[in-house]
Amino acid sequence: MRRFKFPPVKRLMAVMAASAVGFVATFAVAAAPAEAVCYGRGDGATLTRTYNGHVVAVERQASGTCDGDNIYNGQLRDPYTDGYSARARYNEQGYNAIVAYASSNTWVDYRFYDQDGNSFAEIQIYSSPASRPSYYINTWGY
Amino acid sequence: MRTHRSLALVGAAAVLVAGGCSGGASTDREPTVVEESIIDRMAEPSDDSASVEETEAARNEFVSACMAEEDLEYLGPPEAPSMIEWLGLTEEQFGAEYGFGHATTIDVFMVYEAFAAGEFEEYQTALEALPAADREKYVTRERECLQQSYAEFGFPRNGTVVLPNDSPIHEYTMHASEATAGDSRITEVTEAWSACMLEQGYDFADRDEMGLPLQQEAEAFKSAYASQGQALVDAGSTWEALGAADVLDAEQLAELEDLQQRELAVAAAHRQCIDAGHDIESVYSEVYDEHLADAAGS
Repeated sequence: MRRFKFPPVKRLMAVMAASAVGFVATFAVAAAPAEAVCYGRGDGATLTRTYNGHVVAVERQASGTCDGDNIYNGQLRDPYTDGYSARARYNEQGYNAIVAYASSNTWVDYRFYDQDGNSFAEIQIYSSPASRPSYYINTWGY
Repeated sequence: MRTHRSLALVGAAAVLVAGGCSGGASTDREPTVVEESIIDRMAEPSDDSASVEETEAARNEFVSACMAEEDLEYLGPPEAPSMIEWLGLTEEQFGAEYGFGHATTIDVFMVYEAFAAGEFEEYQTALEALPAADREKYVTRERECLQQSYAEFGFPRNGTVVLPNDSPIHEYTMHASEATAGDSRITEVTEAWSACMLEQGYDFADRDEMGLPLQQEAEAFKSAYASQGQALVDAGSTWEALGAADVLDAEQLAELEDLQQRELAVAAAHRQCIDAGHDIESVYSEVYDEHLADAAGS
């Protein structure tokens, strides 16, 4: 079985490049009710948003959030320097809002509280207007 | 039903390199059989013979057939047009009229959000109507079928990929992003773009320096528009009838107009630099594909 290893030199260069680019406006995360991606309790998924074949946003749940307590603890990062931050939008029973922004490849923590107590909602991650078909992913069990 | 590549590829992938990982959703576990097939698929050159639309239509058929094997009717994908498509514009037309789409879309973004949420409503209702056990069965199977589709068709060029948190696949995409960011070709095209922008009076080292402050400023106006406008909507108006001029006060409008003009001017300079051959997006896309294929093929 294979396992990928990052070439050490390239990885170092990438980290240095990312640091050099520097400008990383990590916007404040709204402390508003929200939710994110679990597939039933105890399991979780990572969402990777692609545009032109490459990654523009990545979202995952923080460890242990798929526990059915109606609180979703998520993480978001933006690996692409395109002039737009990565965004996580939630949709549930009339609630529809951006819950988190990330503007660098470092994970940004955020929290979403379930709106109606059913531990079920939809999440969409995107970057630019062009990279945004309204494709929601279901999540429940958080 | 077509035969899944994964079955034919089991055991074929034996390589490997000693492990290391880079944060994110990294894992120490070995790839599953389907993940091995996805990795093999990533190592193949991009297939340009089919359009994105054709590929995604084929993917949907594939997932639908995969779901049917478990007597499940595929409800998705739950998608709606992007704002650009919804406006009936091409990306170029959108850029000319709305710049980057930050402050300039204030009159339409709430209408679009309502439309997009409405498009999703039918799917959401159908899924939530399923008993919990059936819903879990549905989504679990959907996830399996989507993964198989990544092995069959590759990742969507413009879409959302769903994989387990601990999937080793994340290490490949993470590596490709990092390697591309550090690639000399990206450095070169970014420096050339930056020089081009400077010639037009804008000093930006990269596109984030250009776009993120505009986005951040615009968010404040959009937030004010949404909250102040909601009171009018609650009182019987509609978002379609409410432009920024109907909602924001004179001071806010003056500041907004200034921001919109700045955004459009910067976006015009940016387009000019793309037309002059300093198209970071295209170079990035090409270099990323190369790094992803190299990593997957190693």
